Amino acid sequence: MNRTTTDPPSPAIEVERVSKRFGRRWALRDVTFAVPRGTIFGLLGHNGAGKSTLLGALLGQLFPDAGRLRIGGADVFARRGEALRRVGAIFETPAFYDYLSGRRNLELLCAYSARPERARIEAAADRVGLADDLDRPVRAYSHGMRQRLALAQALLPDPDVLILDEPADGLDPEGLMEFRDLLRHLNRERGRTILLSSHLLSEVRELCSHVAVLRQGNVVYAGPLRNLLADERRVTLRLMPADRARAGLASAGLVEEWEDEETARLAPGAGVPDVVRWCVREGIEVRAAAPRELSLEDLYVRWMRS
Amino acid sequence: MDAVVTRNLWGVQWRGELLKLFSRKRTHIGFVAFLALQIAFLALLQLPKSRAAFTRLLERNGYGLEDYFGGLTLAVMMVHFTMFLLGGLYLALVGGDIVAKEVEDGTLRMILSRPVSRLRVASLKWTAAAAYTLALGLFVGASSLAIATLRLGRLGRLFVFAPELNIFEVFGPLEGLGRFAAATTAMGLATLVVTSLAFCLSCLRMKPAAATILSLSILFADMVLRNIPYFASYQEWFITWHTSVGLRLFQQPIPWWSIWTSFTYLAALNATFFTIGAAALCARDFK
Repeated sequence: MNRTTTDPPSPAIEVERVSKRFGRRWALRDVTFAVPRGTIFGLLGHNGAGKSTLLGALLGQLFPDAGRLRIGGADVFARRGEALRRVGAIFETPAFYDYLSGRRNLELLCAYSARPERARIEAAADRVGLADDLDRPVRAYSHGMRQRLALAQALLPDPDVLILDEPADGLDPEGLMEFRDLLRHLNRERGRTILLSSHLLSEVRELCSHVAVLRQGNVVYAGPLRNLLADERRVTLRLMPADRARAGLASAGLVEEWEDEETARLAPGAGVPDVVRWCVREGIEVRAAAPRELSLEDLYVRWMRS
Repeated sequence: MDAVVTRNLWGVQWRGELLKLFSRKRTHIGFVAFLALQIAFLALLQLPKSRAAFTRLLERNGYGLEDYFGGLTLAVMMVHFTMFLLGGLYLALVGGDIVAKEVEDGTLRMILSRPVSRLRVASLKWTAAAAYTLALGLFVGASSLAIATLRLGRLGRLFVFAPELNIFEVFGPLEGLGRFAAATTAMGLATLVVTSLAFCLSCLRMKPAAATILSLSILFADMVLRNIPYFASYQEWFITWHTSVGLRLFQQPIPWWSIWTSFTYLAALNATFFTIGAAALCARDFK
């Protein structure tokens, strides 16, 4: 069947009903989501939620008990070479040959994907700010420098997809900003797809357009970040006189709960227009009435505790 | 196209494996340890009582010390002694590290996130370890000959005494040198089985030290069992019988059939160990 011009592009990464068990414990259970091409996709979850297991499976390092994983349409296990040819990856704790220089490490790792060309290696090192330290042994690198080296190796030779497991871990604030700028640049200017696992919620919020949230090996949400953060039942209401408005809205059955002076949780089925109409009818001045966007932190903590 | 690129990268990847292997301190320490042991052995052989014992052995059989106490004779003794004492240890150490250390350090995960098959990774590592084994064997042979010849100031004739194989032979300098070169090469090839055994264990889910110790234990048990008189009829079943194939090149006439049998047996063992190790590496999870 031929693809027509109206078909959406196939996802860069597809995770389809993937399950993995370690002994009796399910590390992943029926996990399904897709990473659209050209997006920065966040993978969120607390420690032990299954993020690293999932990324390990995506890179063909862990064999799932069930399910399929595809990168660029190629099955990670059946067509490993094709699937990983244009993938760069960083692990939570990147490891290198400490007794060799940064340059040698990049050459060694790059050689498993393509011929390690000097210019390309130097360009990658330059891009992550390691050009001056490339010939020093890795044992002399700081944690932040190792993270940069990890990113440099992930950029070699020239990946379409970046899979990054807690990549900002250990970077100083300046390095963190540069790192985010680099990811944005790779995504916006060069169209790279980035799958990023992180427990830094601010990072996900700042970088990602799409997100999947893992909890105890299950996906509790997968989709655009804006849908996750929008909560139509939670609204900001600035009304005068406040006391009469709060009591009246509650007794009219429009507000279920007042979380604080200005934040209300609407009753099921009620919307901001209903609240505004009621206020106008009752002669209450409406100074502000808008759906309130949840912070990712709020959602995250709420899910993790539920 | 991709297959061509991948095939062409074999050489680059293999050089990378060698670079990793030969850049490690432990590798160099191995070479230095052999040199130190060779020098110590040579010094001990020149102590008056050692020399007197050697002289008695030669003269009882009608040979003169001056002819046979030369570089060649001592080199054979040094190679035999140092390989027996340190060869197994260092080869088990390198073979036991080759995969398990990379798993422990996390560097294997970095490699396996690349578009390279696990079978290829296993092949690269085994062939690199094999190259190390041969290099070590040849180094021990060449350095023993060089040190002994320099110390005694002459190559001399070759006298070989190996009672466990009923070898008591003498050779002229040229033939002796040829036999010594052949025996050293054969010894390098034969000891590859130690590396393969350690490689195999290194691919299983165990620490590098465990792989090394287990390899040495297996070899030690093999040697002890082989030397128990009840099992004398079955000595060709034991690995350590076949690893001594190099010494048999000093027998007169050369027992070609026995040497061929040993190499076939060792090749089969190498293939078996590699297959088990590679299969384990291909099947296991890395987390």
